[in-house]
Amino acid sequence: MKLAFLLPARAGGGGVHSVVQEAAELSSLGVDVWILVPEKHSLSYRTEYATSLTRRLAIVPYAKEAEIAPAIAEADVAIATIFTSVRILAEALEALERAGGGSSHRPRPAYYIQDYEPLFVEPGTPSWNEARDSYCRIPGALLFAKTRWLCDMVSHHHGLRVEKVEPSLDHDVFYPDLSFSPGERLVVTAMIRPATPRRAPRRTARILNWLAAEHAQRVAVHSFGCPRTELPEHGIELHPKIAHHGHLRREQVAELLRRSTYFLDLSDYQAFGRTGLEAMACGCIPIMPEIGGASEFIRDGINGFLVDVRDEQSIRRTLVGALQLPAGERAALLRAALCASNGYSTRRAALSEIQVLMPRPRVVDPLAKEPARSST
Amino acid sequence: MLNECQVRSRVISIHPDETRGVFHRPARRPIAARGLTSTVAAGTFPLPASRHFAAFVNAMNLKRRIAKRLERLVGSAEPAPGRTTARDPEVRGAIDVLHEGAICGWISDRSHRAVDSIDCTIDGGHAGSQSNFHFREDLKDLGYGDGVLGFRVPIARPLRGQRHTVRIHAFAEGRKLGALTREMHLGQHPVASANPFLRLSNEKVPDGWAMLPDRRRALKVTREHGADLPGALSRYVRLISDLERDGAVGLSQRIRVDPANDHTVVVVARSLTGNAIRVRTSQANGSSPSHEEIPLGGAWSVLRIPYRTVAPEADVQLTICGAGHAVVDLACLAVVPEPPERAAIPLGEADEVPEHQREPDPANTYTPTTWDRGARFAGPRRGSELASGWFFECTRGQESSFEAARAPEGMAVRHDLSTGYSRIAVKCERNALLGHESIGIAFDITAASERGRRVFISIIGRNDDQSVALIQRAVVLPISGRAEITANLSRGESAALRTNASRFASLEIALELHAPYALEIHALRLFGAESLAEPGSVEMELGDDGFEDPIVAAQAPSLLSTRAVPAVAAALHRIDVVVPVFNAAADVDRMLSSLVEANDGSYRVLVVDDASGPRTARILDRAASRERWVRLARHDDNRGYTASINHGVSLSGAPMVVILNSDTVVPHGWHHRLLCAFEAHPRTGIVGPLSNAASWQSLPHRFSAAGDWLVNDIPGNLDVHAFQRWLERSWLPRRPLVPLLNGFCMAYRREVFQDVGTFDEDAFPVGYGEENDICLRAAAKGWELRVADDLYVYHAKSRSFQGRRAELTAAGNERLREKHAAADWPSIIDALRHHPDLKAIRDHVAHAFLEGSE
Repeated sequence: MKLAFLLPARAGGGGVHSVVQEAAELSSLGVDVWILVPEKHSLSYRTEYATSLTRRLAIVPYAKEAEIAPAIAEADVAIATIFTSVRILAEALEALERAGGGSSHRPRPAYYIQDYEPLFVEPGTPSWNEARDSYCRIPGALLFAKTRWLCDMVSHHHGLRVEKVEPSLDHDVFYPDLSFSPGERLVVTAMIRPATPRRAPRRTARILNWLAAEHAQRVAVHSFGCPRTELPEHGIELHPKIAHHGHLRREQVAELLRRSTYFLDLSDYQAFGRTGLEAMACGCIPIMPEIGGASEFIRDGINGFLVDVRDEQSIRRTLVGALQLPAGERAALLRAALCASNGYSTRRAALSEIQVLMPRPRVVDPLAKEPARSST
Repeated sequence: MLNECQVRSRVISIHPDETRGVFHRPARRPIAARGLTSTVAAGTFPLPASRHFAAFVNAMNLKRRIAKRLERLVGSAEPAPGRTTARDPEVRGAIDVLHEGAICGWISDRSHRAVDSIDCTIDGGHAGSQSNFHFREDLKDLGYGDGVLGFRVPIARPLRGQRHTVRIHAFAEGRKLGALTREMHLGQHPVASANPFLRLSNEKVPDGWAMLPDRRRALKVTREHGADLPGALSRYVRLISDLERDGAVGLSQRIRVDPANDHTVVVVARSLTGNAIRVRTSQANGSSPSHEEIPLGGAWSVLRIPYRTVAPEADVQLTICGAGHAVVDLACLAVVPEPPERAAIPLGEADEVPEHQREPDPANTYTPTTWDRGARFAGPRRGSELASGWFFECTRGQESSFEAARAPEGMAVRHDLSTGYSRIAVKCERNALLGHESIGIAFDITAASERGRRVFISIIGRNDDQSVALIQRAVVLPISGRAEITANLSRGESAALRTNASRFASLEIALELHAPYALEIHALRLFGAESLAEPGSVEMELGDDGFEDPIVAAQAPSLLSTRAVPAVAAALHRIDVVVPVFNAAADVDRMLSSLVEANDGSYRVLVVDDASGPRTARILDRAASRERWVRLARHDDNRGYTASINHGVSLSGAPMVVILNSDTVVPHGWHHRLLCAFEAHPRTGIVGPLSNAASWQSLPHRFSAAGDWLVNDIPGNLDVHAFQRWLERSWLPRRPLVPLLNGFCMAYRREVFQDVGTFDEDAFPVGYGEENDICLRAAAKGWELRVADDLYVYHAKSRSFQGRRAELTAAGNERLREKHAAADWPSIIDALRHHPDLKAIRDHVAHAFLEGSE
């Protein structure tokens, strides 16, 4: 089986890492995987994922979009990963169709939906139209996504069937340190990404500031996600008692989460909420937005908390409640979080993708009903 | 011995008669007093160097200075074509206007300093004098000293005749410097303006305003900062006129007002020429005119004129009073409802009489009404000081969409970017916060937002290299009108603030807002809030708009709509499927099974049993008892197809109603396809799917060999679900517009029924024409009819009236043609027969299934 992922983005982002991580796992299962990236970004991939690249996992740079068609011609499935790559893939497939030739082989088009991307861009703009139309841009394309919420969003708004695959989690990086004791002060950690408004950086900063000002006796507050100098440029100021760690690598994030009691994600919504799941794997209790896909792995009050981020009073109440939890109950939540995260792995994700991407028997379904016949 | 210095004549040209022996200087520094007595002729300086070297040097220095200045000025001040003013070489200026009351213009000596009075003669007789001059910014802009050179001499005696010689004599300390002379026609202005620097233009009339008819030749409108005028948020607009008639120039606008309230016309203006303005308001129907003449000074004035509302529309005119050169700056002309009683944001039960509503303490009140460093609203940058002590900050790169202006009582700000963020920060006395056990903060604002928006009040500590948020509070802007928004800090917060404040060089109180917003800020007040309840947060309950990202907020309905999918809750009753049933038990059973299989909780089914037999009735009863979303209505006697569907429609309250025949089979996701067609095209009123037997919507063929409507098999021997899956994956929907739809399965937007009524039971009691009738009625009302070409619904066809179909069809067609005699039937049929999109989908299916190429 040969898969070609189209990934027109720079290495290092969460979505990109997710795809590469699953592609690496697929390759370890004997699937040939090519990741097509713009030539200008190829070095960043080779550097970032040097140890992941194998004979079966190749980074294929392209200088022009015209080079994509020949690069995917031999693949069984060509997979777009972001709405901008759907157009590129569609044009590559059309180019292959035009080129024709003797071969009847064509890659099957697919779209690995990472988020409901019309929510990324201003409604009514050309980009929004492109994002909205991306789901049906390629007729017959196989759509798959990693949370039920994402599947439902696309089905609901576009009337399309979206296959569900499993999300991945890298336990080699994200693992707990059960020997760690937080001591008397609990630790609350949050990610602040000022340049991404849907991640609600200001709401997050407000809540962290409130925590630092009101509950400094009880809690130490940490944040990460951007250089400190970036904060004032976006009008965000943090309380002096908040320790801001700047931009962290994955391993550093994991280390911080291992030292944290609660991980706070107050995004407007989360299609998946990867960092929340990674926090659970590190033995940190997540507090996540209830809107979106986080409810797939968080059971409110059992292994984490779900909050309506639009209501800051309720966020504060939830946080106060979490901070006041008796140690025993907090430990029970932590154990439940670890157990829940244990159900996710890159292997499980890769196998679920194979299940979806494997060629299926042709149209006639032996279990289908007897064809409906009409009588004139 | 004489030295001759060649001097360019255009630089120095002094009238020999008027200036012999005296080199004119401002009265403060007369050259004569320094002993310069040489004759100064145009272009030469005959001067004995040995005797007057010092004077010569002084004169040369002076010449250089004058030359430098005039070189800068004169190049751009060429006389206007047709100019008739006689130029005195020593004085320069222009007589702009002569009319029955005044002579206007400007005059200056070469240094723009000496002229201290003028005499005016008309036809040789004394007409008036003036010893004070008014400021003209156009002259200042051109470098003519400080610009205080304008004159407006009242004419004491009546003028007879039309043609007059006007002469303006200039004096300095009682000594005559020179004169301007001009032949003028009374009441006839030779050009719109004699001012050579005034370029007439109406290009910059603010949006929504019109220049008064027939007067645009005399009005120059400049927009200093390019903002719109209407409302209180504009920057100022400069009106310059040079007309002979009083009240001749101005702007007008028709506005809408709420007749339920009385209003106030608010004008913020100044005049650099000391003119008055006249504000005239009248109802659009011409009744109740009122006007008020308001003198203006050089400083900004806020004028409020009561306006009694009678009609919902009013005309507002602003004209400049007085003739001659007039400069009026208009910062705001708005018609606002009578200012409401100032009210604080409700704070809850404990705050019915808040402490902070007592008399304000001026020491702790900050207003954006002083501009120590000048008001500079043009292009604010991050960190710009909008008013003294009031600063603007925003996300980098978003400055261009921010605007600020003076407002009637403070400062108006507006940020138009759809996703922006900005902050208005006030530098406060650090000690101001320290005197109270609990601290309250109140911003006095007038919001122009259409709905309550959340903003944040922050207290920020600053050092040179550090700024930190100490406390933040979320509050909600009032819907509209003026109010105080307050944040009350708890004792603990106040104590922490006092502790932290000592570490910072300064404290700022900031109002943080997400764009877009528009509001006026009148004041910031700090007060003791000891009586307020703990913890003093004023955060309001928020609705569904509490998202931080405006892009997400704008799409909140989309985001939230799937929270209940596939759960039944919110989506239930969004679609009602009306199924009229009369016997045909097997078809009904199959149809109900497919509806049960396909329902993800989005629809309910309203079955109208039109007195079916016991076998069909049992099937319906069973379905209704098993599925709570299947509702059954039963007729005791057979009322007919059309009455049944009308009964079903009357039971429905859903925004989308599907009329579905009982001999159909629907695939999974069928209702989403219909919904998509409505959502993709907002004016779509009725949608129908493709089918094996649906006249023009049939696939792959429409007609039999005999020319009858064909009932096709499902292509490829697939079942309806498999064919639907194939269709979804192989065809990009075009949703073609059609003039008629087949009635076997039609989805209606509820508004269509509200617009055109329900089905015509009288004309089409058993169907066969009722759907075409409603299609034509809907199309006549502007609704679009579309085929959902990404949906395939199986249709067994006409089981209920198997034997009488031809007869019923013919009768229905006849009634239809009678009812819609004006319809262009050949065109309708032709459009359906040759519809390119319907042909494309038929070809697509034929290519895939009939030619063996899948």
